[in-house]
Amino acid sequence: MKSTLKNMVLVLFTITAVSAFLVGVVNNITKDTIQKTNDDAKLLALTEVLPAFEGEPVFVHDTMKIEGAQIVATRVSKADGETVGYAVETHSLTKTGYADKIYLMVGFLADGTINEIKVLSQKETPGLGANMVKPGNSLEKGFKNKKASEVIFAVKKDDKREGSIDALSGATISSRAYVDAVAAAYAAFLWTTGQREQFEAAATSGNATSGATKTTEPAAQEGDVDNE
Amino acid sequence: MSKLQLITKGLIKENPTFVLILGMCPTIGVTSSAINGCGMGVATMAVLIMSNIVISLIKNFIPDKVRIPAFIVVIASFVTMIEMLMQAYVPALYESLGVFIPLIVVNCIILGRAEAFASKNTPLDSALDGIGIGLGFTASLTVIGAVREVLGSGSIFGVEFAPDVMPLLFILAPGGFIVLGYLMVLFNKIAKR
Repeated sequence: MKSTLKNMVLVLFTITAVSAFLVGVVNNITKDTIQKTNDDAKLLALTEVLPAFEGEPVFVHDTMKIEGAQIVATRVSKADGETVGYAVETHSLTKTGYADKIYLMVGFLADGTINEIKVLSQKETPGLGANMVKPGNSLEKGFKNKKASEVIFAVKKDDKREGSIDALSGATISSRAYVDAVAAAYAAFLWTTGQREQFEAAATSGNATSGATKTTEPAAQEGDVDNE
Repeated sequence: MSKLQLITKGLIKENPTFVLILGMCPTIGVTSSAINGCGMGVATMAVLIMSNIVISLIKNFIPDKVRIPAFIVVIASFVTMIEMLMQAYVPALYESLGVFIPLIVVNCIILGRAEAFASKNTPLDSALDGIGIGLGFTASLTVIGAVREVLGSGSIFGVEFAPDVMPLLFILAPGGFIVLGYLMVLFNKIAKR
């Protein structure tokens, strides 16, 4: 078809208008489902990282800022008020993974034992860093059922001491980010359970490679405005 | 050209990956496992069929000078819709394909077929062309993905048989190019017969 200014403007306008309308319709249809899928996944992760129990769980959320990043620690308790544990939604702070930040849900028992770690989202290389989602991988083994206070938050390559974490083979960068995220979760756990002394210790002690906790400044509660 | 030929030519004679050598970016990017390659191929095929039909329907109303922007708008809208639908209904696949879905927009196979075929043929033929090229792309990506997965992580479609002993090279981009090159030689050798 021959091009004139009038028909070019008219045709392009019509095509963009119709396309925009259709995209809007699909967005309206899917946005609730997408929101629900994400919420369900998070809620599922909250209970999955802690020991199973009978009855409806009660959630108390505590949002804090560590190094400018938002971390949510959730106290999960039974209906009668007995605390089952703490689930911390966290991500790597100072170190990003090979592709993007790594988002984890870390479950702590009340005594500070790491119960379970679940990867919420990651964009690492399939076959390398993405192996962190496989059950029983070396990162998970390094943390699971260990007292967080006895774990050294560093991969073996950076810190040879007993208690440091075996990195995934061929994925040291991804492993560092994972460890960093767990370290941030532990700091959040200490803060939310009111263990301020240990929190300070964790923030200043020899965790050289997990710089995340060094200059930690948690803002107390949700709703606090950060003007930085 | 018969209707059946329209479909089969995309698989062998005009195979987009091994013969036309189109869409190399997603090919190297997603084929680190067979299932990823297959998922990307199917998503691309869905976009290709729909964009081919629509472009074939509206081809007579589009002035020549603005046809490329018009095609891109149509393609981009379909990709956005597919992205949202996948996120809502198959979140697991959406998670693993991640950044590659928006990139379907700039996949030159889609614009290539819009220009070379859909803008000159009937909607039915264009749909069949989309199915053929889409199947060819899906098959190629799945084969490349399977080879890289077997050589690189010792598994096939996620089933492990020899984990932790295979060279990681094949999961990374250089291995992807090596596999692609050898498969291309093999494919053309067989297809020429």
